[in-house]
Amino acid sequence: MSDNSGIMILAEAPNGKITGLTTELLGAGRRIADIAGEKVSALAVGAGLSGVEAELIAFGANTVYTVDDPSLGRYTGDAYLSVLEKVCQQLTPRILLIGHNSTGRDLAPRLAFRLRTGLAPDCVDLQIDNSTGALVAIKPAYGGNVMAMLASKSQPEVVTVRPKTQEPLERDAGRSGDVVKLDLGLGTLASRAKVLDRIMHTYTGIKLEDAEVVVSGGRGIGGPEGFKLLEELARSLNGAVGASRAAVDAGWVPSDMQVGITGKIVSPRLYIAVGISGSVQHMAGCSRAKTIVAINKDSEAPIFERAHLGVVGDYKNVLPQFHETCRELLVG
Amino acid sequence: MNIIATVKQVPDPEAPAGAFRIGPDDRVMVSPTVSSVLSPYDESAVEAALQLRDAHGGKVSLVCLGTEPDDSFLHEAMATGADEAYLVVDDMFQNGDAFATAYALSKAIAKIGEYDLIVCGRQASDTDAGVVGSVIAESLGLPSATVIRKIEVVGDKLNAERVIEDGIEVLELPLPALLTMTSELYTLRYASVMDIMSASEKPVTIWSASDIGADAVELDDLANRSILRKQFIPVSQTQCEVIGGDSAQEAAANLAQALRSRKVI
Ligand SMILES: Cc1cc2nc3c(=O)[nH]c(=O)nc-3n(C[C@H](O)[C@H](O)[C@H](O)COP(=O)(O)OP(=O)(O)OC[C@H]3O[C@@H](n4cnc5c(N)ncnc54)[C@H](O)[C@@H]3O)c2cc1C
Ligand SMILES: Nc1ncnc2c1ncn2[C@@H]1O[C@H](COP(=O)(O)O)[C@@H](O)[C@H]1O
Repeated sequence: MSDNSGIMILAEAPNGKITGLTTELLGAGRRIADIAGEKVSALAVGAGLSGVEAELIAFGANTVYTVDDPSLGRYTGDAYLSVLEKVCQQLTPRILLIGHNSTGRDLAPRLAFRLRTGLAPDCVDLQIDNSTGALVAIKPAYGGNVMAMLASKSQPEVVTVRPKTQEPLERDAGRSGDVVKLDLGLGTLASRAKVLDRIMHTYTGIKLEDAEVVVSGGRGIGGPEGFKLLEELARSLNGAVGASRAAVDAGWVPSDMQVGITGKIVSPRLYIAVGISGSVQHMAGCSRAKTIVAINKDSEAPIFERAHLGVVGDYKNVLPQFHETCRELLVG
Repeated sequence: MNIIATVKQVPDPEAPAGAFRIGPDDRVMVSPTVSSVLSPYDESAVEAALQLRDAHGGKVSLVCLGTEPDDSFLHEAMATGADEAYLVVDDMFQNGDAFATAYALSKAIAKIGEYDLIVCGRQASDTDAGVVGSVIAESLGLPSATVIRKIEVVGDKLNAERVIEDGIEVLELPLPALLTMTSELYTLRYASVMDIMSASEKPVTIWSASDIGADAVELDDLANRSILRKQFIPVSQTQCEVIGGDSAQEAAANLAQALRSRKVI
């Protein structure tokens, strides 16, 4: 590769703290950079980024570029797009990794189009072709029933990476790296889509994405009351409650509880799916769980092809005793 | 208020995993027993468009880049209330990726001309890409926002609720704009038998690449930025151990014990 300016990841640090997804991107970037003999840089765009640089280096960045501007505190489409377009033109990264979250979904297609390059969206695996050094990104399609291997003819190769698919590095404050403050001379940054308000959910318990144990319910739960049983179980197991889209669409639980390809991606130690059939779109959100347990009354349900342990039965008969025995084991 | 909704036909996303295989030419083959449906998030886009038209007047137009000149799918899709439809079909667009698709659709939309709002699905359920909408917006120079769960028109602007991690963002956009839609609050209304019958009378305009002024060189540049190297069917290696017992209660207790002996709890 002649035009080779390494791998760049887009770092996100709302409220001055880098996100888990950012550390995953750094982990992926580091892994492919080591194979390809390249460097990893992190681009942090935001407001008030001091302190963020050191964290990005501790998680594996060789160089941190910052674009620190009061108008960039939260993502807005046009402003971020102008910044990224300019940075890519100046620093010509070979590969640009962006998280496949609300920012990445909005930004990446427009950015790739403007940079006259291709895009591999929502990828779950990144490989380097041994013979050519080219990046091959693996993207699920048809909900996850098919995998596509994508490469790019133009640079930067823009890839959005699905959360919880990449291993972060251990944080190591001993790592060293350079910090470069970029002055892009872009003037006032405004977006045509203006943010009038942000309404954030408030959490009382453990956040779904961070939980070590997730108890999820689907259409088989039959209504909002059934979810109370799941909540009680989750509380005893120190976990959080999730749901399938069917349960969300039925209005039984709020949409931020949805697990799956268009919901949250979780990778807990234990995932308990109750009254969930196990559609590919749902399993895409929990397949990285270490142990998946299915409780379903239909022994033919596809979930039994994707779970590690299961009980065939009506959850109303299974769950209370399961909860009881878990409690006994946990105190005992 | 004139609204354009992009709509695509896809194999039923609830089809079992076994219905998919890769053909000899490295293309995805879906079992013929699987029916074709309107891509689910496009249903939400259509419903949002219909609600805005019902509240503010104007018309709803559907646009599709198809693979065959068969317009029956669009007649069906209009049964819920859309006023007219456009179908773009040309060999030039066969095998096109997201960028090529967006190019064709943006040319068709530019030819339709008068519109205040374009709505797309947040992602098609075959590609699961979520690219086409945003790229149409870029090609047409429109402001856009993705994964919108609600739209409200306020004067000559619109307010859109965008789903973000842990909450929502209320955005204000000038018109015309493009939004990609999610499903939570827009469930497509049912069509009655009468609606289905009268939809067959509604106009579908079929356009070729030259009708919309598509340029082969431009298309080639867009379609060749990404390379699809290979496709494969993932294999799951999971072996499920089904825990039994004389009763549901006993099975439940055994399950908890099994988790304990595996040190999961
Ligand atoms: C583009 C796209 C994106 C999608 N994204 C997501 C996503 O992010 N997340 C998601 O979850 N889905 C998603 N879906 C929807 C997905 O295809 C399925 O429709 C959905 O996951 C089904 O939810 P479910 O398993 O709860 O319901 P069902 O498939 O109806 O299954 C219910 C199960 O409950 C069992 N059951 C019934 N009663 C009982 C009982 N009393 N005790 C025990 N078991 C019982 C039944 O045997 C059945 O297996 C998406 C679809 C598309 C097209
Ligand atoms: N061939 C097509 N015809 C009409 N609309 C399309 C087509 N392909 C994609 N779209 C629209 O773009 C959205 C996103 O598609 P994708 O980027 O493939 O996930 C879909 O939900 C549709 O609204």
